Formats: sequence, structure tokens, C-alpha cells
Amino acid sequence: MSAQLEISNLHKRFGGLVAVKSVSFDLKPGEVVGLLGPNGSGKTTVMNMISGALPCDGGSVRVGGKDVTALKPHKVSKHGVARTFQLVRPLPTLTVGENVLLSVAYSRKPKWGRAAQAIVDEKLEFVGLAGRGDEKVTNLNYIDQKRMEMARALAAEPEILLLDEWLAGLNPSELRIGIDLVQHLQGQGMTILLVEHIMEAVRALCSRCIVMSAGEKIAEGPSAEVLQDPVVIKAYLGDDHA
Amino acid sequence: MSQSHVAQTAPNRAPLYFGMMAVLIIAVGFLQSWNSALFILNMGLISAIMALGVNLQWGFAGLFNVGVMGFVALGGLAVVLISTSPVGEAWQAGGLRVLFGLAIGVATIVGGIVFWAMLRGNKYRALFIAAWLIAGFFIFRAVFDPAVAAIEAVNPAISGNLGGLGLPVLIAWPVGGLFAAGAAWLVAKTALGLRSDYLAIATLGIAEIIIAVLKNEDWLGRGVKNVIGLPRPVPYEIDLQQSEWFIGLMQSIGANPVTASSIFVKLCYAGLFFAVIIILITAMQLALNSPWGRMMRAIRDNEVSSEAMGKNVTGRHLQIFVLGAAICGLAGAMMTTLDGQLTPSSYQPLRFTFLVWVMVIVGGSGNNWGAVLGGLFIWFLWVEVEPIGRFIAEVITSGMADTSALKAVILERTVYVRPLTMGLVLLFVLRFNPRGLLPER
Repeated sequence: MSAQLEISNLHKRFGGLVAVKSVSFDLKPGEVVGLLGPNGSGKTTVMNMISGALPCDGGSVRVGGKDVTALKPHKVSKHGVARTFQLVRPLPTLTVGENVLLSVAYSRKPKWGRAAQAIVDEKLEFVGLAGRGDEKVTNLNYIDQKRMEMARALAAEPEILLLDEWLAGLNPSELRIGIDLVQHLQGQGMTILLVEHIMEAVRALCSRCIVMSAGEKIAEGPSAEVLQDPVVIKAYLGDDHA
Repeated sequence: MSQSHVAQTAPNRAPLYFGMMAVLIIAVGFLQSWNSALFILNMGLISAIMALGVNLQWGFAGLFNVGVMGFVALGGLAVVLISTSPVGEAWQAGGLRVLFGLAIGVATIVGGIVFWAMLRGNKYRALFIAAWLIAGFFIFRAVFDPAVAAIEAVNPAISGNLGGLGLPVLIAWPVGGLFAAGAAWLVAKTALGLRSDYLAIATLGIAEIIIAVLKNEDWLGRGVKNVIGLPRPVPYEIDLQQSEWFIGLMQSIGANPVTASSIFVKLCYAGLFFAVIIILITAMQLALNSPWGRMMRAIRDNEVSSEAMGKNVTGRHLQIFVLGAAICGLAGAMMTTLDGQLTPSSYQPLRFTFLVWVMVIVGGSGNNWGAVLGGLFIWFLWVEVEPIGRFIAEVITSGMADTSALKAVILERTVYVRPLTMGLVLLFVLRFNPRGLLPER
């Protein structure tokens, strides 16, 4: 079976700053992989290039064997890629349900009317927002907005889910709920790439990790090994701890 | 919590405000004349349609179009090109040559685009394209200029243009929409990819270009010599005054046939305008509440997350920009039909862009009923504050001596009441009702 997501030699420059420098990695179908690294190491930039939100300066992104490197975000999403955002991006003038419904109508597998509503209800229930579809999205608290964003990403029925610090800013009990949700998705066979700082979550969720520092991939391998790697510890904590 | 409070009160306010608007217009009927009242109503309805067009672009999609005037003027041009009768002599003098000249112009531009793509990587590309465009321009002018001169020499005092197709004037209304849509498509293709403030500058410029073309291309719509006596979709007053049934009808209700004929004509227009506005607002309300409208609001709220959900932001922007401009063009054609003349020099940005924007903002952007209310209300003020201001000034100064300098100053200043009122209304609405009289939700 070929890779679900295949990234090779990805490059990105912002003016003189090289934000991402020849990063390559693959995700197999059904794999949950963590993309780690200190702040500013280019993780979100990689996410943005996969989803098409930023154009690449070099390299290629292939989804399910198809080249999506030069495609705009709306086309990439039609190849089965859905994402959440580091800072939640709800649509304030729509209700919670409408926010999720939006992923269903005019999408890769469009559904309308009752069929669409059924998906919305199902996804809201899955993330723990059952029966709250008519609320204003701005009245939700932070964890619930994050849940809504997850429901919105899932409603598109993607094959690859990109979670950009989806677990950040949650308190310990909320974190537990969040990890359980992702584990559920893992059980359903979804391919997930998650950018995360919370090691507890990474250990619980990711079989494999990729670590970036200053735009370069510095380590890749099974989570337990990678997190012990002196190069990784040095990147996070400095020379003294390595 | 304050937002949910607004949402609860909003549905009750619309009938109240529209009722007050009706009372204002009826009051004009009683206090001034029914002719004035119907004049305000008719232009108010047309303004409301323009406001609906801008509301579609700004309220639904967040596109900042400050070229409303240009699209309105193109609608006006459509009335001339559709409804006036063709000038046979002018067509013989140079009609086909003008069309041929324009075809050369278009071919030059299209050819430039095609060659630009074909010669990718060729180091002489820029040089060749420049030579192509310059040569094309001179050939275009060589064919176009004598043809224009020949057409404009035909009876310059009464025609000097090619005339139109001689079709019923109502056909010009949708055609006006198409003209504006075509221009909007060109603008959108070049400027929509740019950020919103650049779109604003582009539309501002395009509107001025359209007006400049209308003023200077005499062969097209007689330029500043104006086209007057455009055909009407409703009866003429003079015919009514001479027709048996009308005189009989007016005598039976005891009305003066001369005044009544003018009121009757205005009522006919009002009926047509109401029909258009009802169709438009029904279509727009259905669109706003459909999945398509939800998608548009989503794109306006957050382009990045809408794109990530598979929404083609640029494509939808193009679509809605063209639709909104088409509505402005339709309104422009209706206005020129109501006026019965096309006067390019009367198109001022203050009146046709700024005022329409005030209508949308005061009415409540994102709410179609708000746009209609804003159109009627702001147009009412635009017409009425000047006579009211003069009346007040006269009352204040009635006790003063005719030689009093203060009296002269006060009376002189009454002409500024109109822009002053517009500014004050905008300020007060933005202060106390920042989301307009009828907010989106």
C-alpha cells in the first residue's frame, strides 16, 4: 500500500528567512503521526503547505498518490484533506450547526437537506456537542469551539486530518477528553498528522514522530525513541540537558 | 448576550420602520403634492435596488465596490442602445467600420494575451508584444477614427450617433444588467485577486473611465449632447389627457385630468418598480438562506477556514461581484427609463456611489430589507431636507430686516443642509445603531 500522504523536499522561504528546508516524510494509511519541534521550527508552515494555504517554493505534496502541490486550498480539500487551525477560526455569524453544515454542502461528497443535517448531528455528537447546533458559535467556550472545529473538519469525511495544536490550551480533564476523541478517530482508521507540544498527548496518540528544528527535519521514528534522542532534547532544552 | 437581544427585537422593527416610511411619503402627498410623493417613491425604489446590489457585494461577500456609479451608467447606456431607433444614415456612413475598428481593438488585446503565453521563454517576448500592441493601436485608430467622424457628422444637432435597436424599452432593463455584469467581470478578473482596498481603487477608477467613455464617445450615446425623449414602457400624459376613457374615469372620481394623468403615469412606473423589487428581494432572500448564501457568509467571515473546507473563495467572489453589479446596472436602466433621458454629465460619485453606500450602511448591511429601507429613507431625506431646511431658515429669518447680513448668511447656507444631513444621519446611525436600522441578525 502506497503512502496516504507523501511529502518530499518541501521548501518555503519568507523573504530571506528559510522557514522550511527540504523536509520529506510519508504517512501510511491509518497512521497517527506527531509533528514536533520548538516554536518557530516551521511545523505550521508545513501544515499550511500541505493544505494549500501557503504556496510551496519547492518540493511536492502527494495525497493518495495524486500531486496536490500547486493546488489552491479548496482543491486540496476536495482530495480529502481537512484541517483545524492553531487559533480557532469559527464563522461568527453562523450557528454551531451551520458551521459544521458548511463542510458538507458544496464539498467533496456534497449532501443536502436531511442527509446533510444527519451528518452534522452525528459529528456534533461525536465531539460531544450533541444538541447544541443552534447555539451561536461565539457563545461557546474555548474547548467547545475546538470541538466544533473538529466536527467541521470531520463533516467533510476526510481521509487525512491535519490537527494544528488542537490540544493546546486545554486543562488536564479537557485534555483527557481531547485525547480520547483523537483515539476514537484512530480506531476508525483515519490518517492524522498532528502538530503538538503536549508530550502526554504525543505519547498517548502517536506511534511515530517527526521532529523539526529551524526549518529542518532533525529526527523521525517511533515516539519513545525520538523523544529520547539527544538531538531532539538539545533542540528543545538546549545543550545542557542533552 | 447583547447580540441575542438584537436578534429578538429585529423582526419586529422592520414593519414599524416600513410603516413609518409609508407615513412619511403619504405626508408629502398631503402637504406638498402627490406628484412629489410618487417621485420620491419611484426614485426611492430604484435607489433601493441599487442598495440591494451593493448589499449583495458588501453585505453577503464583503467586497468593497466603490464604482456603483459606473455600473448604473452602463445600465443607462443600455436603454439608449436598445430602445432608440437606429439612425440609418449614420450606419451607412460608418456603422460597420466602427464595429470593424472595435473588432481590431479587441483582436489586438486578445492577440497580445495569446502571444504572451506562446512566447514564454523567448527573450524578445516583451519587445514583440510591445510592437504588436503599438501597431494594433495605430491600425485600430486608422479604421476607428474616420468612421466615428463620419457618424458624428450625420445630423449632429439631433443624432450624430448610431442610435439603438428600436426594441421595447423594458428589454433594456435586463440588458443593462448584462452590460454592468460584463464590465464587472472584466474588473473582477483583473482586480478581485487583490486585497479589498485595491479592489476599491480599481472600481473607483473603472467607474470614472465608464463615465469618461459615455461623455466622449458621441457615436455611442451622443456624449454630453445627451439623449432625450427615450421611449417609455408606460403611457404618455398627453395621450391620457386626450383619451376618452381616462377623461371619463377622472371626471367620475372628480379629479383634474391634467394632474391625474401625471399621477397615473407615476403609478404605472411605481407598479413596474415594485414588481422588479419584489422579484429581486424574493430571489435574494431565498439565496441568502440557501446553502449558497451560507457559504457566502462563511467566506465573508473567514476566507482561510472556508477555503480549508473546500470553498472556492475567488470563484464565489467573482460570481457575487458580477451579480451585484448586474443589479446596479438594472437599477441604472430603470432610472434612465424613468428620467426619459441619458445625461452622462449628471453621473456624480457623490450621488451614485457615496449615497448608495450610505443607504446600505444606514439600512443595515447584510440585510436585504435593510437595504430597501435605507434606499427609501436616505432618498427621502436627500429630496426633502433641502425644502424643509429652506422653510425653517425662512421662518427663523422672517422677523429680520431684509438688509440684515445675518439673514442673507442663513438663507445662503440652506443649500448645505443636504450633505450636512447625510453626514449627521450616518453619524447618528453608526453611533446608536452601528449595524444599521435593520441589522443582519
